Amino acid sequence: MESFLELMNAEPATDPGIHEIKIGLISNGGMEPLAHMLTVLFSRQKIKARIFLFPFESYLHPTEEFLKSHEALGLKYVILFPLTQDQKLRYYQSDETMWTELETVIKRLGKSQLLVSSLVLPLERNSFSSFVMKFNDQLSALANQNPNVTMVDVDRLAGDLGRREWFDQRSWLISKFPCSPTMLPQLAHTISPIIASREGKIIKCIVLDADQVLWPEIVDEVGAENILSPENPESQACIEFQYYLAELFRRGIFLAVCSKNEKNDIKKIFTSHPGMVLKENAIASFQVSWTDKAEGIRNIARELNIGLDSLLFLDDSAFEREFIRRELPEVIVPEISADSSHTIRVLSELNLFPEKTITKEDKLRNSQRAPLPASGEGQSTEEFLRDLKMKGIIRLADEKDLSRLVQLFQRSNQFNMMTARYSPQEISGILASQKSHIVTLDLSDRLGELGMISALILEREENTLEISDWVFSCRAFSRNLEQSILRWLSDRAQVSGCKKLRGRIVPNERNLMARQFYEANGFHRSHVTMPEYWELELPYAPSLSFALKPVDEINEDLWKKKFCLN
Amino acid sequence: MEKEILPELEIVFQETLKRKDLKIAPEDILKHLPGMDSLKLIHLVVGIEKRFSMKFSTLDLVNFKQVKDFVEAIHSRKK
Repeated sequence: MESFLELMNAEPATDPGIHEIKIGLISNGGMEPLAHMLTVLFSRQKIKARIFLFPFESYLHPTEEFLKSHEALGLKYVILFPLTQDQKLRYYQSDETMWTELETVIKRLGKSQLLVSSLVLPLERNSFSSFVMKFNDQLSALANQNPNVTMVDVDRLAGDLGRREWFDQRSWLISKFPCSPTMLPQLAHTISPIIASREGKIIKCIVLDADQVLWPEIVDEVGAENILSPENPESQACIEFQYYLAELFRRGIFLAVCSKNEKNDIKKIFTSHPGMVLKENAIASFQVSWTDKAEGIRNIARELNIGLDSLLFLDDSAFEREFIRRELPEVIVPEISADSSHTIRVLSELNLFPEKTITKEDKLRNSQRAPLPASGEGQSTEEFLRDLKMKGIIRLADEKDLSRLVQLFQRSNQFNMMTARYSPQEISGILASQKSHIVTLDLSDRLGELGMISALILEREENTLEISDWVFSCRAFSRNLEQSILRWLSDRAQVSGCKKLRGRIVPNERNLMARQFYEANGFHRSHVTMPEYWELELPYAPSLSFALKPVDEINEDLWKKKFCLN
Repeated sequence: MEKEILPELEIVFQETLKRKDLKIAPEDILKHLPGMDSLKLIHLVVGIEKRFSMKFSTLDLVNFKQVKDFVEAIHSRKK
């Protein structure tokens, strides 16, 4: 973890990318250093953050003008620190006002996604500390009810770091820092992943070195059968680390192994060593050879169809870490050692799972699905696809689907038309609107269930049905499903009286395949604008050797209301 | 001894205020230094404490007005 001075003196990365987001930071303290640290951390993930600081007071007693200019600013996220030392003093005069004040401010913050810091339990055990406990409980309940509010558990962080170290009277008196300056980097590292993951920067796979990370020994030296020796006290630490990884596996993170070793030795360990917690079926990709690890990691990304920036690389060798940082700068490479319990702590601090809910699809991602067999000898693609016995259900989304919808739009990069990372509120807004709605496809096949793998935002305009946005999970590529959806949509649109389909897209370096899809399926570019608009005169009648006929579970009344002209 | 402290202190001021050619003199009033504000002050203090391996108390900091206050405090701590 970088120190206060290191992070304060760091400059934002020179190529922060074009992806810009506006974030508000509201408090009554001196937040500039935190704002600077967050800007630096975001820039390292190619997010250009523009952070606007406001005092809490300006939202408590706002002028009309202030509210108007706040609205105009259009802050995507707001980080809120409700505690100040002054309020501590005010508390001794009246207790309820602090909570109602927070509620008022939250209401005024309207459309922004809110990250509200919990209050840090003070060292004194008195009525103020009981108040803080009650306040945090109320905040937690609010965050559970309101999908737009997330509680940042700063109290938990302060506890982890040590409450005595957290509070720093002089930093408050002189600079109005909310905590000791040495705690600020940790605070920044707690907050930034929450926002970064909502902007699509998600760790999808952990790439593991084997020797001295998963077991304490070096296979080459002791032999494959002798790893995790019970005589070695380090073995227990490695086993615990494997349990920790197994838990991540269950939550939908891919695990991959990248090791300079004999392939057979490693395979043998994962298939038959009795001491291993992680078995072969837990590992999504094995890259075991004597060639350089950058090659191995690139292969893993390709094999799993994920971006390099969603990989985390763990290796006890400083040389390998530095090498990968240089060769593959997008890969996240934390500083670890051969001490596995320290590695667990490092991973926890990285806040890999900032979201509060785990979706069904997260749990399914690594479930006991046999790997998709390569099409058999002499078997045509058509036979192969038919053999999968896929079943798809198309329906209109509802509020229950909120978490998965937000997740699909956040995680998809390749087949993602607009790369718009919608907030839960924005999704709800679409579901509630008059003329648009979201259509989803749930898929299963003979190997198991995949869950919701695609979502389309549709909007009716005159005689055109517009696909305002469309995401498709890479897990279900190469099955003609995108065309199957289009064919279903074409039929529906015609029955509803439409003459045309229109799709729109903002092309970037990641979603090339999405752009090529419209072109390859008979759409033509209608305007020279950004976003691009592509149109197709109905019907869409592809000549496909195989297409899925999804089960139509569309709520007809709702469809009529939204998409049929009266 | 005091003469040795000032150049090192100057480096910390230069780093904190991000001004490579800043020169400080004992009589300089802290809050008048270019780029100085209350937030920079704590940043400065952390830097000085690290460089000279010491810790200032709240009372010290609240009363420090000029560069020489730092110099004296560092000097007396180092004895």
